[in-house]
Formats: sequence, C-alpha cells, structure tokens
Amino acid sequence: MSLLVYGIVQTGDVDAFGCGLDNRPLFGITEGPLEAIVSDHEGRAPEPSAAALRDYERTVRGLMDRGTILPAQFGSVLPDEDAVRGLLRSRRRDLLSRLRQVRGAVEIGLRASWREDASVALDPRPPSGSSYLRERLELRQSARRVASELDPLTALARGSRRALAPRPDLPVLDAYLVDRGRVREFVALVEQLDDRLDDVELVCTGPWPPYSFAEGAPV
Amino acid sequence: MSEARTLYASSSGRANASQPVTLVDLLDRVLAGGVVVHGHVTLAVADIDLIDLDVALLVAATAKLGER
Repeated sequence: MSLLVYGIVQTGDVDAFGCGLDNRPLFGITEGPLEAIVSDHEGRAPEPSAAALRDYERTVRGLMDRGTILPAQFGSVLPDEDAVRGLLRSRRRDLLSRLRQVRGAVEIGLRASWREDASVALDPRPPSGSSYLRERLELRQSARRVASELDPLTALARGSRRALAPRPDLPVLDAYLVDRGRVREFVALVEQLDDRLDDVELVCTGPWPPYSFAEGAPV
Repeated sequence: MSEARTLYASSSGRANASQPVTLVDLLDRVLAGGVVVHGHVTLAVADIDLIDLDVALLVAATAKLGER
C-alpha cells in the first residue's frame, strides 16, 4: 500500500478529516513543522480521468477551506510514510517559506484568448519558412501588447505567473496570488481592463488553491 | 465548501459568474501545478474524456511536467 499526497500544511494547521480519491480517509504525516495530507493508495499514480481530477480538486479545496495548504501535483504517490517524511525533511525550508507566502491568499486564473475576428491567427499553411517566422514574431508582439494591458493586475496581487502566447489562440495565460479580501477588487479590475481590450476575450477563474505558486521561483 | 467558479468572462460578464470552471482550467492547475514530490509522473492521458477537453492545452501541460 502506497500513499497519495494531496498537499503540505504546517503541522496542526489543517484538520485532515474527510475522504480523498476512491473514498479513502485522509490523514496527516508529520515531520517537525510540516505535515503532508495523504490517503492510502494502491498501485501506481491514479489515472487523470475527468472525474478523478475533479475529486482531487474538491479534496484539496476542502483542505484549503480549513487553513493554508500547498497543493501537491495530481498523481503524487510515495511508497510509504518514510518517503513522505523524507520529502518534508529535504524540502523543509522551501516548503515553509512557500506556505508563508501563500497564507491568506488564493490563486486567480486569467486566460486571454483572441476573439474570432482578431487578425492575428497563424496561417496553417505558410507559403515560406520566413513568412511563418514573421507571423510567429508578430503573434508574440501582439501577445506582449495584451500582456502589458493586463499589467495593472499585478498591483493587486502578491505574486503572479505568466505564460506568454502558450498557444497561437491564447496570447496570455496568467495566475495571480491574491489576498482573499481583495478578490472582488481584482475581478472588478479585470472587468475594467476587458473594456479596453477589443481583440481578446478574458476568462477569470477561482478562487483556487495556490497550485501555480507551489513550485518555481519564489513569489 | 467553496468552489472555483468562472468569476468573469468577456462574453457573459459578471452576471453569469456562477458557471463552473472547465476541465481545461482544472488541468492547467492540478496537472501542471502543485508541489512535485517525485521526478517521474506517469500520465495515462489517453483515458481522459476528451469531450470538453482542449487537447493542445493538455499537451502543453504534460510537456511542462516533462521539463521538471
């Protein structure tokens, strides 16, 4: 029997009651100031079916409602309690620092996609390599322009992550770490910025556990 | 329990802000984000219900996983 990790909390900060995937009861494994919330799990990583992803998200969200959590990536399976303690020990400083950074905040996602009539689509059959590269460059420049219009949002956030033009139809994919008390203000600013941007559509989602702030550069 | 929702969407505005989030929004976070506890993540992506799933984004998300 292995263990499926849902997230990392400060010891005692979040009560690990309830169930996770496959209705398995949640429990905590503690190593000093850190605690991993886990459930028993059989076999390899769970398959990311739509239902499993939603169940997983619901479980992590339930934990987030009770305190501060750094969510684990879906499918994080460790062989036993020793391996979990080893993880908490080896990454103690980084995990504690990230928990401090996200305390009292939630993640808000923002997706900007080109409107259907926007004149920025890549030609699926470019006449030449150079025209393809030129189009890509133009697409990136257009994405930069959209991104700069969204910059005022960073003033309302503790931190942000940005993917510029991750796909041809998506100039900007952002995640913001926002104080719980400022979410409404943040969404109102998204609405204002949307009025200025004629060629993109904005979709703002949340509040999420801080998935995008659990790894990578510090906030 | 609280729930992640669409807080704002250009097409519908805030009036319709009670729409549930899409699977793509979920994938962006649950698969591409979070604490990475080990180096090898095996994803059986073929089994995901593709009806409301944006495949390109899933590929982007899994490619990101591979970089780690």
